[in-house]
This record gives sequence, C-alpha cells and structure tokens, in this order.
Amino acid sequence: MSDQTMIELRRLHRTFGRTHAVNDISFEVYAGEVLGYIGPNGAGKTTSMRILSTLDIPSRGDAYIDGFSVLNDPDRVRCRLGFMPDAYGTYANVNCHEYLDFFARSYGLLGPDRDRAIRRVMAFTGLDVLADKPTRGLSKGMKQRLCLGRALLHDPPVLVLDEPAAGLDPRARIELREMIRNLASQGKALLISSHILTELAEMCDRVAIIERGCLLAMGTVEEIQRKVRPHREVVARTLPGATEAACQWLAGQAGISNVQAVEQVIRFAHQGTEEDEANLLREMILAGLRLSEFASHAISLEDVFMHVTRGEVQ
Amino acid sequence: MAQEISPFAPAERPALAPDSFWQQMDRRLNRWSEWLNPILVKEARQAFKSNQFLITFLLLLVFGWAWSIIGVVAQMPHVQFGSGASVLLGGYFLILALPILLVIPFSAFRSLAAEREDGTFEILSITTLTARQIVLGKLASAVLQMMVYYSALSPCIAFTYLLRGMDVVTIGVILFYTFVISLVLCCFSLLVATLTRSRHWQVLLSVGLVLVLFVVGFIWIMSVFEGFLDSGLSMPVHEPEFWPVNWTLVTGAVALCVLFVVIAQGQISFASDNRSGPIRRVLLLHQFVTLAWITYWQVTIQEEEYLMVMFGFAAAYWMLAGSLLTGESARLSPRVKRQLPQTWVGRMLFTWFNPGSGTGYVFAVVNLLAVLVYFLVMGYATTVFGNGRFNADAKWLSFMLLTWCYVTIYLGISRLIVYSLRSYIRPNLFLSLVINILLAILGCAFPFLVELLINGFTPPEYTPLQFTNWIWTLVITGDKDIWSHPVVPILLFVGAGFVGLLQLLTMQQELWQSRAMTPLRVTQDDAAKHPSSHEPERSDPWD
Repeated sequence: MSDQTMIELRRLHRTFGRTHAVNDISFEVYAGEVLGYIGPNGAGKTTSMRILSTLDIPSRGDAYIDGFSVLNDPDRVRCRLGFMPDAYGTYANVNCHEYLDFFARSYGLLGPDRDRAIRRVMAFTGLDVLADKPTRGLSKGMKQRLCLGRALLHDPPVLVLDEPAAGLDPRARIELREMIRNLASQGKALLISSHILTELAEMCDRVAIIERGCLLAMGTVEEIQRKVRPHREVVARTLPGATEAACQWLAGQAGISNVQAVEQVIRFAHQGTEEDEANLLREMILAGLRLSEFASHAISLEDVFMHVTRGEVQ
Repeated sequence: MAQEISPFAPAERPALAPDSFWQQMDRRLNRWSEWLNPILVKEARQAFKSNQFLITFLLLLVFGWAWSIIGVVAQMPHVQFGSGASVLLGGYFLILALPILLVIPFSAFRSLAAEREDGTFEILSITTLTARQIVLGKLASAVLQMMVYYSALSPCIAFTYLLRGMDVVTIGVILFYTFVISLVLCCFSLLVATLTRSRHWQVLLSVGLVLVLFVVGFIWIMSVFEGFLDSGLSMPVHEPEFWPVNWTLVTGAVALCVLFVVIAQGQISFASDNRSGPIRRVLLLHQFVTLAWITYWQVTIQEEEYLMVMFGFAAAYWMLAGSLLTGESARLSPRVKRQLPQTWVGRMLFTWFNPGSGTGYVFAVVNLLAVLVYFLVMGYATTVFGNGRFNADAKWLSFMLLTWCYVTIYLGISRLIVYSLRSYIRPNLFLSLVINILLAILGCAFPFLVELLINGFTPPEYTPLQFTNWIWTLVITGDKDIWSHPVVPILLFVGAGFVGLLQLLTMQQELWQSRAMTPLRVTQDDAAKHPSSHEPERSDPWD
C-alpha cells in the first residue's frame, strides 16, 4: 500500500428533499488499499459510491479520484475508475465476448489492445469458457464476474464495487476475495461495500462505517475496536476449587473489571494490549492460580458494526 | 476462477493456423469497425439478432414478393403495355412505410428508453463515450436498419420502374422523403426517450409517441397517394421552384434533426456540463438557415403578407424557445466557468450562450429583434429594388414592432415569476413553459371577458383595454390601423422597455460570472498527455 491518495471524499453531502443521504463524509483511500464501506440499508453507501462514479452529483462538498473532481472533471475520472454497481443490466442478443468488446470500444480501446484486454479479463474472471454464451442467460454469479470484467477492461487504478459478493455461492465468494486481494496487490485502490462482514474483514485493510449518512468510525478493525470498546473480553478456566481464589485475585488487579464466574469459567474485561494480556497470564500463574485455559476474544467486524451502529434508517 | 494471471500483462502470441477467407474477412471488417461508433456496432449486433428485426424483415420480404405476384396477376393481361407502375409502387410504398415510419422510430425510442429502464445506461454513461456519441450511435443504428429495409425492397421498386406510369425522379423523391421523415421521427423519438427516467412517464410518453408516429405516417402516406400515386402525377422537376423547394425542405429537416439531437444529448449529459450553450448555438443556426431561405423566397415572391407571416413564425419560435430558456438556472459549475470568455468583446458576444434565465431572455429577445431589423432592411430593399408588388408601409412595420413588444413583455413577466419562485422551489423548464402559456391565455381572455361583462355579453369592439390581448391587437394591426388607438402601441413600447429594464436589474449575477482557474491536477494531466504542447497564450479578442 502506498501513500498516494486515489479516492478522496471531502465534506460530501447529498440530500434528496429533506433526507440527508450523505452527511458530511470525508475519508481517503490509498493506492493498493482495500477499504470496506459498511453500514445498514439506507445508510448512504450506494449514494456516495454513485457520486464517486459520476452517476450522481453531490449537494455540497466534492469527491476526487486520483486528484480529479468527480463534479468538474467527470471525463478524467471515468478513465481512471471501474465501477461495479449493485444492480446491473445486461443486453439482449449479446454474448459475453460482444458485451466486453462493446465496453472496451466505449473506453477507447482499439485493435490489438482491445483484443488483449478482453482476453486477459476473461481469463482473470474465468469467463473465457463462456465467451459465446448470451449475457441474459448467465447465472447471477457469472453476471457479477462479467460486470467485474467490464469494470477492469480499461485497467483503472481505482475500483468501486457495490455489493460485489451479494448472491454469490461460497466458492465464488472465496474466489472473489482472492481476486480483490490480487487487484490490490497490483496497486489498485478498492472501495467495497458489502453486508457480508466476515468476508470484508478478511479482504479489507481498513473499514469505514456509516449510518444515516454520517461516518461513524474509520480505520482498521482493531483501531475501531480500541476506540469503541477499549477493553478485551478474556475467558479463563480454572481447575476445580480454584475459581473463587482466582476471582478475588483478578478483582484486585488494575485494568480488570466485570469479573463473572460460572462454575469453573471466569469472564472478565481487560483493558490493555495483547502484551499486557500475556503479562497478566504470567502473573496469574506466578500467583499460584491453577488455570487450564486462558483465551481472549478478538472482537469481530460484526461486533464492531453492531456496537457502532444503531440500526436506524432514514 | 481466480488465476494467477495479471489481466494486464503483455499477451503472448499463440501459434495460429492459417486463416480461412471468412476469418480474414471477419478480421478485416472488425478492423474497419474501429472507426465506427461503438454504440452503432453494438446496436447493429443486437438488432440483427433480434426477433423484432427478423420478423419485420421477413414480413417485408414476404409482403413484397406477395404483392409483386398479386399486383401483376391483377393487371393481367395489360401489365406489359398498361401503366400499372403506380398501383404496384403504392403497395410497395405501404409495405415499406410501416417499418420505416413506425417500427424504426419506435425501436429507436425503445432502444434508449430501455437502457435507462434496465440500468445499462448508467454503466454506459460512466465509460468515456460522450452523450453525443450515445445519441448519434442510436440514430446511426436506426439509419442502418432503414438502409436494410430499403435494400430488401429495392428489387421490387426496380421492377416497378420497368413498368410504365412512374418516372424514376418521382419514385426517388417519394422514397427519399420517406427516409427524411423517418430520420426526423427517429431524432424526435430519441429526444422523447431522454425526457424522463420514471417508468410510468415512459409508458405515457411511448403511447403519445406512437400516436404522433401514426399521425405523421398517415399524413405522409395519404399525401403520397393523393399527390402522386392516385393521380399519376410526376414530380415537376423542370419547374424553376422544384430544387429550391426541395432544398428548403431538406435543410429544414436537417436543422430540426440537429436540434432534437442536441437537446437529447443535453438531457443525458453530465449535470455539470454546459447543456444550454450547444442548444443556443443550434437555435442561432436555425435562425441563419431560416433567414437565408426567407431571403430567397422574398426575392422570388415579393408579396406583402409573406414577411408578416414569416415574422409571426419567428416570434412563435423565439417565444417557445425563450419560454424554455427563461426556466434555466443561472448557477454555473466550475467546469463551465473554466470556458467563460474573459475579454470585453468575448463577454459581450458570448455571455448570452451561458446557461441562465436572464441570458436566455436576452438571447431570445435580441434574436427576434435581429429578425425584425433584417426584415426591415429586406422589406425596404424589396420596395426600392423589387418589381413593385411589395410596399413597406406603416401597417407592416407596426405588426412586426408590436409582435416583438409582446414577446418581450410576456417572456419578461414569466421570467420574473420564475425568478421569484426560485427562492421557494426549484422551477424547471416545463414550469416556465406552462407559466408562459397561462400568461398568454390570460392576457387575451381576461380583458375580453371584462369587456364582455361590461357590454352585457354582446361582442365588444376593440378598445385600448385590450392592449394585453395580443391576438386581437395583432389582428387589428395586420388588418386595419392600430394607430387609430395610439395608446396601445405607446403602452406596448413603454411596457417592453420597462420589462426589459427589470430583466437587466435581475440578471446582474449572470452578467458578472468570471472564468474559473483550471485546477493544477488537470493542467498536469494535460501536460502529461501532450508533453510538447504548452498553455496557449490569449491572442484573440474572443477568448
């Protein structure tokens, strides 16, 4: 990941009547970075992605792709951006090769460049075996590959993917994840929205959480976790008869709270880093507490999401 | 599916077997198609594989051949020496007119409307294709289909020419104008397809469009049958007016097509683009083309009423155009501001091409004034140098001046209404048009009803109270002498001046727009694309 800013939202606003679909959102995505864009339905993800893709205009603020304003230089933005919308149509009486050929021509690719781009994109998305198949007869997963292929045809440095994994079977999702990591390793900046948070957590370098048009949190999952829940939940199991002593010992330690015991299992909140946790374990053993298990629960993206958002719609 | 292949690594050349003739031909055609509009290539591929085209084409062929047999059999045994060409051509014309005047324009409409309904238009609009390429690609595809249909029936039409009763010029002119009308209808259909994205409005518009296509098609078919096929008349190709009339019609049709295409492309272009400027340029082009033909026909005809009627058309044209232009918002995007002229001369001449209700008002009113001045010069020149049939007099001059005053006043008042509404709502062009129409109706109906009430429902005589009644006042001006009621022209002159002054006071923001700087990133990008070129220095007064 480099520090070259490829996507920048600067105080972006979009209103529809009285509804504030996007409300003062600012963030940046760097080259080679995958940013997960998450939020409940109606949070403003698609609206901001449509603005980035020059399909809509902001009411206030601006967005930039590789330094070009989407509002004032849409033609330059379009050369540098591949967009995969959440709903995409296909043409009747057109096969996969013709579909890609048409869009390659539309992006100004001519002659051998066009043939090469189509061939490579078909190989990359696994559509080469379906070149002659009509696009209307493709399955949802195949249509999604076709749409991703279309977005990649002109080799854009920025990709905006709106719900790319929706409706895909498990194998296709794993393959999509690999493809996205592969594209990021080529230096492309990717902004991806999805409701499948486990998938996003695995493929994204950072996430941005929005709700009701406002950016609630942004950073790596760990960074957000530290901001929203500064403690880690730790579970320790003692040998029979040692539980009470362990609870008393823990209650007297700094940075530990909410100690609860159920039979031999003790749960408590620990404020500190992983290293602090390792020190705590060592001190417990040195204190003569007889532990059979000690585990801290790393907070998942789903936990972060549920903690940050309220599930409100507008 | 994910393979360890970069999609953009250089391609290796696989060893290929020698190509067959058809493969070579396919590759050659593919290379030629590089020069074509991508939309045309895609649409042609789609159209030629579609059931609609297949069925229409087959029906055309079947009906064409069936009519050939029926027509010949029905005229036996005189077919070899009788004049049966018009009967056969009538049948072929009907068979051709249906797809050309109805199916193809409607397909053009559906082709663009379906892109917007299916969501494919969005992915199309984020490519590097311009709005103009999209509209022209759709139009070119329609023209291609027309060519195919014409080709399919060309053997039958050639057969008609072999029979007696129709000359080749008449056949050619009928087919040519059918093509021209279809072209205009296709442009109109594409414009209609861009008017709304809402599905229910699209349905309503499509019904309206079908009605328009039927009416226009019916009128043209009936005209051809009445004018040529039933009467057996030929084109008066040796008449001196034949070519000028045809050139007038063709240039008019082309100008109309250009206007429809420019409006359609404005409708689908990006929001921060200058949508109004190109339309205004086309309106100006219309003005020049029309004035050129009016001049030619004035020299030829030299009738008194001719210029008055033509000025009436010009006033209606600028009233309609002005109604739409005065509904525009004056907010210019930084993108548009980068192109604004900077010099005094440039600003004075080209500010009126910027989007905005005030500039739109001045553009319409000044253009009509230019027509008036030109007609004045032409009228007096004809009086002096003409054949004596034309005499420029006060009645003729008063009619044009008062018509201009009415346009200035009504457009100005409606602009002020739209201008004040802008604080509360976001008025669009349609609202502005409706306000203009309502004002024009009220201006006539209100004083008339008032006088009707005063006179106890007996038809009133014309009085100065009717000065807002533009229909009655202009009829009086054209027929009699409006100067018998001198207060009316005086009121109209003062009113036009006052309303015009009010416009100038409310359009300062539009006049003071200044050029925005091109961002550094854009300049850098241009420099990277064209390393040898440098920023041209301003060297002409128009920039």
